[in-house]
Amino acid sequence: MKRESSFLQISFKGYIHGNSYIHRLDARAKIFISTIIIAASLLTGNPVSLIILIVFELALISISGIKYSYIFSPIPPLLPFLFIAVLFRLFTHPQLEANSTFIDTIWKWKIFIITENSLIGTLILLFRFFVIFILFTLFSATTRLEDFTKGIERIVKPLQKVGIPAHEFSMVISIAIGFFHILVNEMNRIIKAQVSRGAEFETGRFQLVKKVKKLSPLIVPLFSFSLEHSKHLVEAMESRCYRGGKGRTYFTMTKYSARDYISMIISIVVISLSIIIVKFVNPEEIKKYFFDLF
Amino acid sequence: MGKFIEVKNLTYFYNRGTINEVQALKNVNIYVNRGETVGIVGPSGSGKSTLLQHFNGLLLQQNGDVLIDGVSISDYSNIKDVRRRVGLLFQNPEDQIFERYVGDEIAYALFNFGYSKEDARERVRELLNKVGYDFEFKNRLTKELSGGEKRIVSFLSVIAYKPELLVLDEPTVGLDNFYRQKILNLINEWAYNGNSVIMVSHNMNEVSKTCDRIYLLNNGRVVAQGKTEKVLMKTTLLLDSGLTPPDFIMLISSLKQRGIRIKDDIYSEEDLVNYMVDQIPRVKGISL
Repeated sequence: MKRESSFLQISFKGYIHGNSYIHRLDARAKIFISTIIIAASLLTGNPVSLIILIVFELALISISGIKYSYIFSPIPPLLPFLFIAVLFRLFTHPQLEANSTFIDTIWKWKIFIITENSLIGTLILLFRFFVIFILFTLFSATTRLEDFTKGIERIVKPLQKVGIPAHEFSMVISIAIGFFHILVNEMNRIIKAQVSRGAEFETGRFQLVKKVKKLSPLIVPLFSFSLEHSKHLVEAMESRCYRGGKGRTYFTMTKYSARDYISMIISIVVISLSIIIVKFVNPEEIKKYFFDLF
Repeated sequence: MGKFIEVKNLTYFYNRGTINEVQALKNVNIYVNRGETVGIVGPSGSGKSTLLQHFNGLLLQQNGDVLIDGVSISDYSNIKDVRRRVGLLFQNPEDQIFERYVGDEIAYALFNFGYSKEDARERVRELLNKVGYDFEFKNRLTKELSGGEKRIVSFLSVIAYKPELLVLDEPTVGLDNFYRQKILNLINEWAYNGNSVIMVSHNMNEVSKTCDRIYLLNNGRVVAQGKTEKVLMKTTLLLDSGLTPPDFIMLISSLKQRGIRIKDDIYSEEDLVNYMVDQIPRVKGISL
């Protein structure tokens, strides 16, 4: 039987209730840890550092009590895009412009060439993707949107002195993220309304053009809905006298605890180690070990 | 009168395999005969809407089976064939309407099922006339319709392609008396023409007047089933499930509590009125 599996299962991994160590961390501590992990993954050019970061994140998932299957469940729809990115990285050679000779060619067919550098570059791309993907999913699964908003607001607050509106900034971020959930739900609603009356969305796995064409009847209602919804949101805020950040108080206030300081210190140590450790290992040895595997 | 649709041992979990796993349906067995109107009643969160979405394949069975004319819907080569036979009206009309104009909304399914432009136009005209609207109503913007008009339009958009089974998720909830009556008339007319109907409702007065049989769902299980009049007499069970029995049954119950003897085989408002009219001469010693 034809099923609309991929279309009817558009989902966004939101917050999961829990009381784990990770859940109880202050949102600011989580934002700090996430920022340094992302910075480390972008700055390092070594796959070993990235593997250490992935292992560290897997340990965090384990502590959070969230199932690995849940964290990785959004991966399948992303695979075609990942595949295209991998192909591009594998067969494009920035070093060609700098150096016209291939010293480290592994495989060659007509214009398609794979070099050691492009292979390692591809691995770095993949590992980086997983570092950021796992981090994002774990963060959203263990942090409430309102905690995240408050965290951002308090981080940005010192910048108010130089004229940056901290409250409005965090409000914009939270509405943007909240809207993503709403749009996904709305898209699922429209898909259900259309398929229940005979619309067909299913196409072959790699028929991207067809897929995009079939999605087009969704775009107009979705766009019109988002405008309508933002109008309602503004009216709802105005009717309750929203006046921005000035003079606004909060029902609950967050405070840093020992748990947050300990977690940030452990993260700094692990992330620094992941970068420093490779300085003590001969890159040629890593390369040799890696290629011996194949 | 054979079974048109049959649900066998249906079980369904939301977020299966995650820590948010919720079991919405537990071993549910129901069937609907051809030409029959069946009510599914139960409190909010009892699994009614989940069950309805299995009838036209919006949700696919995890355990158990859904059979149409004895053929499992998983054996259909194209789910579109199932949807052609089973029309689903969503709980809120806002959930169903997505086109800009009324005419496009009503004709949406017709084009999916291969109607020509002329045929679709004629069908839209016929349907709008049926509910007393002018053909020009097709040019109205859907977002400018009132709640009642939206419900009528979404109802027409489902019956437009003449499905054999009409599945209605609380079709009259939130409507004023005018539109409620209009929708109920459409349902009765649909059923009168030999079509099958499944109707979810919290309003036991409507169920008592519309449905031949009832299934009472609670916590994802069928806790009572049978002829409408028999199930609605189980007042304690209904009240325990958060449902209010029909007014005439509540009246009988109140009268009985005050010591007035009333015979047991009263199954409708009309029966009760006739019985009471019969009793008045005896009580007052007068003749009507």
